Amino acid sequence: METAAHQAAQAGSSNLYWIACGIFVLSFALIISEKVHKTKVALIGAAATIVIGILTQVEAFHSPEVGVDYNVIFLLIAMMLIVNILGKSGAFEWTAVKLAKAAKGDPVKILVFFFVATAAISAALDNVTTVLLFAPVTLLICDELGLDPVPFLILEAIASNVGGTATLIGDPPNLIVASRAGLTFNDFIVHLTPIVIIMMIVFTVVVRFVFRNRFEVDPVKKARILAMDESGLIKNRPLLVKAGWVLALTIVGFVAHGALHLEPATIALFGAALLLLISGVEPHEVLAEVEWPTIFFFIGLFIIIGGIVKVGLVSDLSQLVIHATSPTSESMFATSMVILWFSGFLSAFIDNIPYVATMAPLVAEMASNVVGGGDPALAGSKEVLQHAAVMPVWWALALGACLGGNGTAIGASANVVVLGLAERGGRKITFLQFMKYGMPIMVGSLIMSTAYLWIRYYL
Amino acid sequence: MEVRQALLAEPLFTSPQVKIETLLPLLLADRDGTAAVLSEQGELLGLVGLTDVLRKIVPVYLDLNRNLAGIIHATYLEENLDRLQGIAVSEIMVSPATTVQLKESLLVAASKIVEHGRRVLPALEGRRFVSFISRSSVLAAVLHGRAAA
Repeated sequence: METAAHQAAQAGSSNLYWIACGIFVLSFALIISEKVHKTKVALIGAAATIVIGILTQVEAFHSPEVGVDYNVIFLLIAMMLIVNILGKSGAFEWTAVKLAKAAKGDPVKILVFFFVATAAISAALDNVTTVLLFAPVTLLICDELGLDPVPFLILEAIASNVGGTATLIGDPPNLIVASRAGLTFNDFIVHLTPIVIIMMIVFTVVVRFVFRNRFEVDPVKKARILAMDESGLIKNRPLLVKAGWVLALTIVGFVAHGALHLEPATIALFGAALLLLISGVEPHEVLAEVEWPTIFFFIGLFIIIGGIVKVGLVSDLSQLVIHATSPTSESMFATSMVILWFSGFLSAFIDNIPYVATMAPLVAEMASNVVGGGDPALAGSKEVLQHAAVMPVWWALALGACLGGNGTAIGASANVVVLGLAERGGRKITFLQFMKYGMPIMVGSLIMSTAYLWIRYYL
Repeated sequence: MEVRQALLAEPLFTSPQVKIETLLPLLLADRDGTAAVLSEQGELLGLVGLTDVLRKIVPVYLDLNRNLAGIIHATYLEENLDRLQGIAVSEIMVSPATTVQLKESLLVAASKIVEHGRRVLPALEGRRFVSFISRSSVLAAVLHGRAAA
């Protein structure tokens, strides 16, 4: 009798395994196909995961292992609030015009200045917001100079993805990696910022060289740039000062969050709440501008991934990776390289957020098996997740997923947004046009990442 | 009161093939600066007004950030007036247009004018264009109706 009950329970468990796999594969396929909005897919997949009983509601909403990662969710919401309020001040448009004037209307200098500025701003703010604010000014400057805006816009999207790779808050995949591995803001500064700076220096030199004889501009048109009066672009100076201070404080908070024993989400939430309080902006106005579809996409995704973690699919996949790359507790070089390049090329064609959301638990599981010896007591512990052999694998995942987004026009949200803005601005950018710039930069950045990981962690 | 009691006497209309440079003087002379674009059968295809003409020479990227208009050089519009050359009405008309039927009440028409912020609305009988109603023709009809009562 007991054996029959045990067999029935095993059969039920096996059924749930395959159902969870089915939900995961189907959701991923639908997200990639873009036939149905990704938020709808994620939410229906999440609801099915709970209704079918793969996860209980308590697990889905409250479990640190398989539930929604509220550290990521609240960090995203809070940063969106801060950036939305800062964006209302007109500071970004003002900065872009100042840069164009500093370049004295020289197109190559403007291209380089915008490339570097977009990367720098994207390291501190969301990539999409950065390109959203820069693109209209870019279209205007190019119109005034009589230039084709396509290379400018594509390089800005690319710069935002490269810059976003540098910090914990720069790109959503980094948020997921940080939250899963328990990494701090400073960990990203120490381990990823140096390689991003190197990449930006290399790419800036290359861009300057490639475009050195590409543009010809009438001096009269250059003079128009110098004659621009950017002072009117600052719509709300007191708001700019307040938002600037709060953003600076929030970044200082991120740097010190380890010492303060506060999670990044708490720091960002405090910054957003403080800014809402002192800015005088109506809460409903800025809350309406939060990208709720993205937030709910994350929520749904965490629940679907939680389902496949619970039934053991992630564990099985991690065994496959272990088998294929033979990592040891001494070195995971092959694993890092496979994850870096696989993530890079995959992220060029699929959304890197669901990809990293799937890979992060897989890396954690692999770390627990290889470094923790499969001891359940050590699973998910800082000792295992931040073991010296495991850390380069996390960096490989972050670098591959973030930089891979540059490969194609659909590889990153910033690319899609720039294409949309260009079209609305009267200039269509084709998939191939984007790839002509994006793919070489992606491959170049993955080669540099390979060298960096090898020299820094394995030499 | 019905829409038919507030119709304009001389509505401006055109065909989709007409060039903007031909239509522009007529639009400028029209009180409401709007023309109905009609098919050969007299059916309404869309509306074209002075705002639609302006939209063709105002940089489209300003739709993304109106605040930027203040830094563009002062003679931009004059320099870009040539963009109107050879453009057919069908390329800039707004279609489908918000319409009212002759038998509808003036309250329905007034409500649509307020909702869409339009100076005029085309009044149809079935699918056939009859004339326009405007803010002033609606108000004038209402005042006239009350005085008569």
